[in-house]
Amino acid sequence: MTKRRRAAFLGLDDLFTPTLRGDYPDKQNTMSGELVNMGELSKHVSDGVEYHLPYILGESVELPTICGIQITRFMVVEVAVALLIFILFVPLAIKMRSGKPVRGRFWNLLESFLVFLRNEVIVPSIGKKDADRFTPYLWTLFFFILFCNLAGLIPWFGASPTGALATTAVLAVSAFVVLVGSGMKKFGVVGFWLGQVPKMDLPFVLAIFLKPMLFVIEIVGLFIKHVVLSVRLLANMFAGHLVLAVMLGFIAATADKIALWIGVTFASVLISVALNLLELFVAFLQAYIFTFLAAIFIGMAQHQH
Amino acid sequence: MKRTQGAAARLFVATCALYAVCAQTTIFAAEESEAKLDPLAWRSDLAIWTAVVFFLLVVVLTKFAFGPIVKALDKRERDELDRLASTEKANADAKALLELYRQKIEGSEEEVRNILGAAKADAERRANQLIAEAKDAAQSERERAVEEIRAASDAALNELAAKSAELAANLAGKIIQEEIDIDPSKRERLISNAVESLTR
Repeated sequence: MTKRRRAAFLGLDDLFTPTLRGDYPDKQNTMSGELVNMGELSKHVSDGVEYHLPYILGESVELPTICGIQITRFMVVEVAVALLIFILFVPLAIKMRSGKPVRGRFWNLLESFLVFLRNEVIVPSIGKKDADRFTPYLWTLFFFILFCNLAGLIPWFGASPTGALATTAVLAVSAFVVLVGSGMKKFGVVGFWLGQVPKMDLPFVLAIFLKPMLFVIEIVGLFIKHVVLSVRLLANMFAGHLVLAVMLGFIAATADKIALWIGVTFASVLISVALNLLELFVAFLQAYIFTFLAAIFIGMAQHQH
Repeated sequence: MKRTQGAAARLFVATCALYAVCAQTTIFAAEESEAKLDPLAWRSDLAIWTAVVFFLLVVVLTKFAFGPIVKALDKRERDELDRLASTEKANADAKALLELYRQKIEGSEEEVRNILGAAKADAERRANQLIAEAKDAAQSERERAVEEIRAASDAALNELAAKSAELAANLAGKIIQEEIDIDPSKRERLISNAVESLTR
């Protein structure tokens, strides 16, 4: 079995294509004496205009351009995730309509997610009085992030859209908009922004200098908190997928030395399985953290200093 | 629900406005082809796509899934609180009823004791009465028997006396008859004595 055939068998053939063709010479790295193009590796963890298919079904499918918008893998995954959430939770809502407990393990599993988020995250962060107004948004946020994270773990489904700054930033901006909107609705535009400054009994002279400074710090802090929200999710998801891709890349890198290739393949698959389990945990953890922090920020806006 | 939709619409408008502003700046100026491979590069197409998909998802789920689920959970919570309250009330009622029955049982035990005491006293009284009556009856029977004995005795004595008198009279008659028959003077004296004793 040649190097390319062994790599093709594992669905990693395109890692070698540029190398064998001699493309992108400036991006080539040396691994075990062979040249492997890391740019091709990163395609497996980032967005693209084509969908990679299983080897037996063909190379890949080129995604179309609709109304001048080039559809990408992440866009398809986002729509698929949205449809999946709709398909899962609308029937659950119908089953729960009577207010009686639902029957069946699967529906109880979904309900336990919702009840946990509501009772342990949203209500303690925002308060019982206001929590229900934000609960649908925060539930949507959690499941959208979770399913986008999990999408990257499903073979051939595509990488995680949460591994792109555009996606995580939009989600953070939505949390920011909800926070500011709800805060201004409750306290008024001026009341909300002035309320960002903590109430302190300062002498008048000190207050003149300190309060504007505190106002600026608080506002900048508000923005930074949301930027960090998006970067944290992005970094966790992208890094996890990249490490997985690199682990599998070792198999391709050693494909020309049969003895080494067998050992490396065995180790890489084992490590990949372990990392996939870690990724599974991280997918849930990051969705939880994002939702939890968004709920806390909204709660802080609803209950000013 | 209308309020939620209104809030969602405002959120959508605010998001679009924000992107419209961002789109005019250099934030979206990254080369799309290179940006697709760089996770930190800003991509306006993916951002707007994500915003639209996520916004529509929030609106649709709020209306058809998560909004009704929140209501259902609230309803369930209310129902459970109602059930809990009614259970607590039933428990309190049962305890009160138990206390009532306990008191009734205690009362009935006292009543039973009273009834038994009264019955015992009544029985004793009745027994004493019966004994007294029996004594009276025995006494009167004894007295009656004594009376009867006395009467029989008297009657016997009277009869004996009568018989004795009759015998004495017969004997005396026979003797007198014989003397009268023998001496007429005696007869006349006897008659006069008799007449005299009758007149006195």
